[in-house]
Amino acid sequence: MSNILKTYESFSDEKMKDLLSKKRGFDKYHQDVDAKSVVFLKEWVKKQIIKNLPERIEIFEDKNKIQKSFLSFKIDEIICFIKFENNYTILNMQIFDGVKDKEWVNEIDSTNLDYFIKRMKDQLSKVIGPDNINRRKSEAGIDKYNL
Amino acid sequence: MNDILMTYEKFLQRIKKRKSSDAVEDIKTDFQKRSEEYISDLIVKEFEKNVSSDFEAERFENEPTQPSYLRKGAHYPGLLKIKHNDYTITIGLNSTRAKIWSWVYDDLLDEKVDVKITESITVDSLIDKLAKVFKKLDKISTEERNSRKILKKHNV
Repeated sequence: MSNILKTYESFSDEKMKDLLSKKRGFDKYHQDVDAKSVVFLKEWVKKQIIKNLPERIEIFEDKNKIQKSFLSFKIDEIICFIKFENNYTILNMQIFDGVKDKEWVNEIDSTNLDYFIKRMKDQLSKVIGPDNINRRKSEAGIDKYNL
Repeated sequence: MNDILMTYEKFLQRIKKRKSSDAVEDIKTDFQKRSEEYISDLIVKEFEKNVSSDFEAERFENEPTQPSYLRKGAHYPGLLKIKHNDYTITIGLNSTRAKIWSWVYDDLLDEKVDVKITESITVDSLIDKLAKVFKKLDKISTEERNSRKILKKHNV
């Protein structure tokens, strides 16, 4: 079982449900129309992520209803969370660096899906890949030869 | 706690701090538009499967003249028009996207058929309600409607 799957088991435990329920709107009932739209759009975004990013990406699948508005993935120790906002009219992605103690890297906001994918590719190209991961490790004070 | 879980906590803290973006009320974004297209296609498929395959469907952006019997102040973004047996079904999402409204108009008699019965929060129940409406309506023959049309014309 991959790390991401092991991680997923922790993600879906009661503790995570508690965490999620504290955020306003997370426990709100999803209307059928919105729920169907979110599933459709999430699938679209997921397909684009797979199409546009290197194969080594690990997509973090959500299976609880409470997490319907999320999509997350990991690549080269970069962890990204995508959230649909404001009645599903804005797409927001938060990027964190797993090497640098989960430090926040950047965020992307977009009301246009194609533009969002383009920006995601641009932003991630600055932090993923062998050179970038070595740079990040070096900046974090980690000896790249020991990793 | 693992990497993702720890990062997730940071993510939650971060989005909590974010100012809520300006509500996009008037602009139909690409994002919303695609989801409406998807819901619209889904309704057409379900209509074909459960109500009738004899119809013409047309998507529209905005209904230029909303029927007067709809509540004042509510906004109904465009979604779909279905023509079946000289009836026109207009389907719209209300401004909160929490409900789908549909109203059935009799083109032959030039009058609305029903309003209240087709308010729904799910695609399935909308189709179910429309199927029930058309089960009754399809029993009324065109001849009968034409007769009523003549009577109506002469105020009888």
